[in-house]
Amino acid sequence: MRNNPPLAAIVEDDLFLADIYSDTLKGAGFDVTLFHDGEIAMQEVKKLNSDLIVLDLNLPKYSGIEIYRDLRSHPETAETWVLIVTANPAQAAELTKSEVDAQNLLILSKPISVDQLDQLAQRLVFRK
Amino acid sequence: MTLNLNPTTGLITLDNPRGWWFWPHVAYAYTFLLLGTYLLLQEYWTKKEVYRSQIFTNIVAILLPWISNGIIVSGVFPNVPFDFTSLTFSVTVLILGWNFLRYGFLDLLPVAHRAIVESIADAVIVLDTDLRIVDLNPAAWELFRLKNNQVIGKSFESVLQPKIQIGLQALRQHGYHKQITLETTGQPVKWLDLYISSLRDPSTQGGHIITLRDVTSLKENEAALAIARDEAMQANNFKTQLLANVSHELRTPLGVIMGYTDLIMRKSYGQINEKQAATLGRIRESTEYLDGLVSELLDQAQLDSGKLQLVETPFEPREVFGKTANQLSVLAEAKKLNFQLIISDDLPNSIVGDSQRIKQILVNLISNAIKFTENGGVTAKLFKADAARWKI
Repeated sequence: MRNNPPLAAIVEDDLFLADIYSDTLKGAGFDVTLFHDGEIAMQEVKKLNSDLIVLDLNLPKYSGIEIYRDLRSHPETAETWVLIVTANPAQAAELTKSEVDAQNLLILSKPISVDQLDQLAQRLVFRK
Repeated sequence: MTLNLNPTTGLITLDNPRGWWFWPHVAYAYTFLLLGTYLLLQEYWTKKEVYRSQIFTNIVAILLPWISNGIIVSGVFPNVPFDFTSLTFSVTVLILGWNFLRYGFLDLLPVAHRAIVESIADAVIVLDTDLRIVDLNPAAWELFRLKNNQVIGKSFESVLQPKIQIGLQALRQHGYHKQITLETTGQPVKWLDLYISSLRDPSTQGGHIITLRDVTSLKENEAALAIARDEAMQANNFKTQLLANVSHELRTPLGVIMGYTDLIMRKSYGQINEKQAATLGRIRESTEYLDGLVSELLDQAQLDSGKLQLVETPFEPREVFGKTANQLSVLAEAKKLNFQLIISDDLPNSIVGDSQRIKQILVNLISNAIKFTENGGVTAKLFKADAARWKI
């Protein structure tokens, strides 16, 4: 069941980017919870029951990949849509390779446009 | 002793009656003849085929005085008018002389062989079957700082084994090769290539030859090359890492510029006038251009570092392509574009290749197509180009 309004968790250590994602998703009708730190995100995101998780890969303490794998190991977040955003295409390629069979996962290279994020978020969540 | 004129032949003969000393002299002469013949016969059996005709001629030469003197001494033909032993000796000398010329006894080969062993830079040590040192060339004395008379006849174990660590069993292995180090006081460590060959000539007792070649300068060059190669690789890795970091560091602020520009253009932060919108459009375009440059830089760095390796395994192409298409269709839908993946019917159920890389190519191709298509749709087609190739 989708939250009303839908809830998005944003995990991004760059404050400006987090702000941009947040403003974009709020504009798309989402409630937003922000995380700037891998360790807190690791503990909290899975408890949120969010409809969409935007996840940066390079984070302090825990990497986005570790958080992603942890999310998938919990039934509550096993099928939540995850948008992984990374500035490192090699890392994106590596993840594309290891997660060939992953469902409800999109890997995007930075920078992503506001339009792209807006449209993807709406499409993913409202299609659910 | 009397001189006689032979009336039939007309020759003057010296009649020399046999005294008591005659038989000891015969015994003495025959002992040496016997010994010489024995040695030649032994040579005949032990030498290689190529030397046998030469030895055979020598045996013939030595048998002539045997036969003639035997006839005279034994007296089996009493009518022989004179002792022709000396005549047969002349024939023997002629045969031996012919042999000398024909088989090149005086050739330089053996002398040259010895000279080579004496003068080559490689150390050569000859051991007998009991692993005692029987010979060594000047290069070997020099290498181990030995004196010839100190070591000849001594065992390898006592003289050389403390210097070159090699098992006694290895010495008996024909063709054995090992690279060893030699430490001499007051000298830099030397690298040596050690070879063992067995002496297999059946005429000798057998034995072993150790050859040692100084390869220190080769080793040093090798090491210098390895260091240079490692440094070059390190520099290349550093360059790749640096470019990856720079690209990452550049992308984040680029994303921020693009993001805020987009948000302002969408009027998320309030109304903007036309001039402001046009200016923001230019900022957006320039940022995208800059981002393109950063991507190219990083791609090049990854290609340069040669990190790409293909893993070939059988996979089911319809399943892999289908899943990829499902994920990518979301991107297309978000932009209100049609997306279609057409797979030709004759595609086999299983093919061999690097499915992950093929998937990456599909993802990159199709997501780029979606990214740069504003209206209409994106179609990816997988078909057989010719007997050996498939095309996307």
